[in-house]
Amino acid sequence: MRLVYLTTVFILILVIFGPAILGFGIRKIPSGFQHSLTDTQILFSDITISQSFVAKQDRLSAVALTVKNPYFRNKKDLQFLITSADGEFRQVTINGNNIPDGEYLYFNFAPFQSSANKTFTYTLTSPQTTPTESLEFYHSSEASDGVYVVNGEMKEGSLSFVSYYSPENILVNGITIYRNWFWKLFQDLPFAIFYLTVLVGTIGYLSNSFSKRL
Amino acid sequence: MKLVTNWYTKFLILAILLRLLVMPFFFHPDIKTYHFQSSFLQKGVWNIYSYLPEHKAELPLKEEFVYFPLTYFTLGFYQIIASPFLGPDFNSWLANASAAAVDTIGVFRYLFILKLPYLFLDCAVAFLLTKFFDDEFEKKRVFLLWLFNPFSIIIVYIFSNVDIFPVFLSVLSLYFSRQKKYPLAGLMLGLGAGFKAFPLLFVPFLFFAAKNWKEKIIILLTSIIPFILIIAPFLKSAGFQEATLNSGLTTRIISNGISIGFGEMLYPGIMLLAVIYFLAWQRKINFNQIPFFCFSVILAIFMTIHFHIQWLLWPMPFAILMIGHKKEWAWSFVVIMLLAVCIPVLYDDPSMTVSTLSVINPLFETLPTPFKMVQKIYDPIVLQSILHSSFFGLGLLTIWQVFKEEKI
Repeated sequence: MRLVYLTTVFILILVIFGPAILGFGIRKIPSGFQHSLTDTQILFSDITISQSFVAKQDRLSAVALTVKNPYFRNKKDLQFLITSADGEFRQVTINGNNIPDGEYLYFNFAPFQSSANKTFTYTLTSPQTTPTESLEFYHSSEASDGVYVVNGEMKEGSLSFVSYYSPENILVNGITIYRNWFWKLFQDLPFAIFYLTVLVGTIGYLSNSFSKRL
Repeated sequence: MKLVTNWYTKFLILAILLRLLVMPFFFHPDIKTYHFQSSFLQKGVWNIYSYLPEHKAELPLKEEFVYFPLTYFTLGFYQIIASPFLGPDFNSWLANASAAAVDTIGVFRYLFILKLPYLFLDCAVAFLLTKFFDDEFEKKRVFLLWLFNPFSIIIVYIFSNVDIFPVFLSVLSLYFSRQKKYPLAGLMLGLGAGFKAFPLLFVPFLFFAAKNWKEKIIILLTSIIPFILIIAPFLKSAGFQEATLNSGLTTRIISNGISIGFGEMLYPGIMLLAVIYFLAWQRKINFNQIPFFCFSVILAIFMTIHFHIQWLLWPMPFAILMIGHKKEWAWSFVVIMLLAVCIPVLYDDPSMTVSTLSVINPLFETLPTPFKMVQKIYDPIVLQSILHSSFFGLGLLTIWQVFKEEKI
C-alpha cells in the first residue's frame, strides 16, 4: 500500500509541479524554432561565415547552431564573434574537442541588455583548421530577417540558427509555462472538455470509493 | 466476491488516473517516428521496408529503421480506426519534421489517443499477472506492483515505445504455458517476436520445460512458424534486412568483447546467455521456473550492452512475478532498476529527460541535460560506465542468488 501512496504522490508531483520546478532552471528563451536543416556549409581556415539577424527581445545572450564534426575530426579552436550595429561585441571560443557530431551548439555570452529590434551579426572562423578537419554548419533554404554571407559572398537562405534571450525573472518562467500549457490544451476544446471530464469523473469515483473502508 | 471486485476496480481506476495524467503531456520523438512510418498503411503501402528507402528523398522524416512487421500493421491499423478522433491535421503533424511539431495545437490529443492501446495492454498485464497466483493476498500484491511501480509508468507513457505489445504477449505466453496450452503459449511468443525480436529469447525455456518431444515440437512449431510467416514477405527487402540484422539487440550483443587473439573475441553477453540456457537444459526446469529464467536472460543482456530505456520494460513482469513469490527480492530489484534507469538518463540525449516535457512548452528543450550538467564537474561517460559496472555486479549477484534460492 505504501507503494500506491508513493507512486501517486510521485506522479502528481511529476505532472503538476515538475514543469514549474524545471521552469526555474530555464535561463534561455528562444526566439523561435530552428529552421529546417537543408545542407551544410564547411568551415576551415580560408572560410568565414557570417549571419545577421534582428534581435526579438532584450538581453540577447546566446546563439545556437547545429554542427557536424564526425568522429571529433576537428580539435582546433572555433571562434564566434557577435557584434551589434552600435559596435558592442562579444567573443566566444570553443575547441573542436568539445563539439560532438550533430551537436546543437550554444554560443553563450554576457547578455546585450538593450538588444530588442537591433541588428546583430555573428561571424564564425577557425583559423587553424585544415580542409580535412573542417567543421560543417547546417544552413536552411528558409530565409531569415538577416543576411547570410560566406567569404564575402551573399548566400540564399540562412544559417539554421536560433537566438536566445535571458529571462527577465525566473518566476515569470513558471507562470508562462502554465499559461501556455492551458492555452494549448484549450485551443483543442473538444479534447480539453473530454479529457477534463474524464479526469473529474475518475477523481469523483475515487474520492467516493476510497472514503469507504477498503 | 463483490468486495474483491471493488478492491480491484478502485485501484485499477486510480492507476488509470495516474496514467491519464501522464499520457498527453510527455513526449518522446520515437512515438512520432514510428507512427509516421505506420501512417503509410492507410495509403495502401504493404511493404514499408521497401517503400521508405525508395521514397527517402521526398519524405520529411528520413528515419529508415522500422520495427518488425506487426508493429507497422498494428499501429497502422489502429491509426485507421482512430483517425476520426485524431482529426484532419494529424497526418501533417506526423510529417512535420521541424522542431515546431512539439508546439502544434492538438498534440495533447494525438499523444493521448496514440497511447491508449498501451493503457489497455498495461492494465491487461496487471490482471494476467494475478492469474499466476492462487492466494488472494499474492494476487493483490502483484496487481499493485505492476500498476503502481513508477518505472513501468515512466517507460510506457513517457518513453512510449511499442514494447508493451511484445511484453503483454510474452506474459500471455507464460500464462498459457501454465495452463498447459502449449500451442497458444508458442503462438504468443511468435506473435510477440513479430513486434520485436526479444520474445524469441524465451522459446528455449518453454522448449526445455516441456515434458516430452511432442510438447517440445509443438512449442517450437507454434512459435517459429508464425514468426517466419510474419517476416517471410519482407525477407528480400533490404530495409527489412537492415532492421533485423542491424537492430539494436543483435548488433550490440556482439559489439563488445574480450580479445583472445587472432581476431577472436569472447562476448560477455553471449557467455552469460550460454550459461543460463545450459542451466535451463541441464537442470530440467519446470514451468514455474520460467519467469526466473526469462528475467535472468534479459538482465544478462542489459548487463553487457548499451541499452535503450524502453527495453527496461521487458524484464519487469517477470521481476514482479518473482517478487510475488518472494517479497524479499523487492529491494534488490528496486536498486537494479534505479541503476538501470540512471544509465540511459545520462546519455547525451535531451529526449531522455528535459525534452520529454517539450509539448508542454518547448522552453524545456533549452534546459541542460544531466549529461551536460555532469560534464561541468566530471566525465559523464565515465560515470555511466561506473553505473553500468555496478549494474553488472548487482545483476550477476541477483541472478546467482535467484538460481541458488530456487535451487536451479
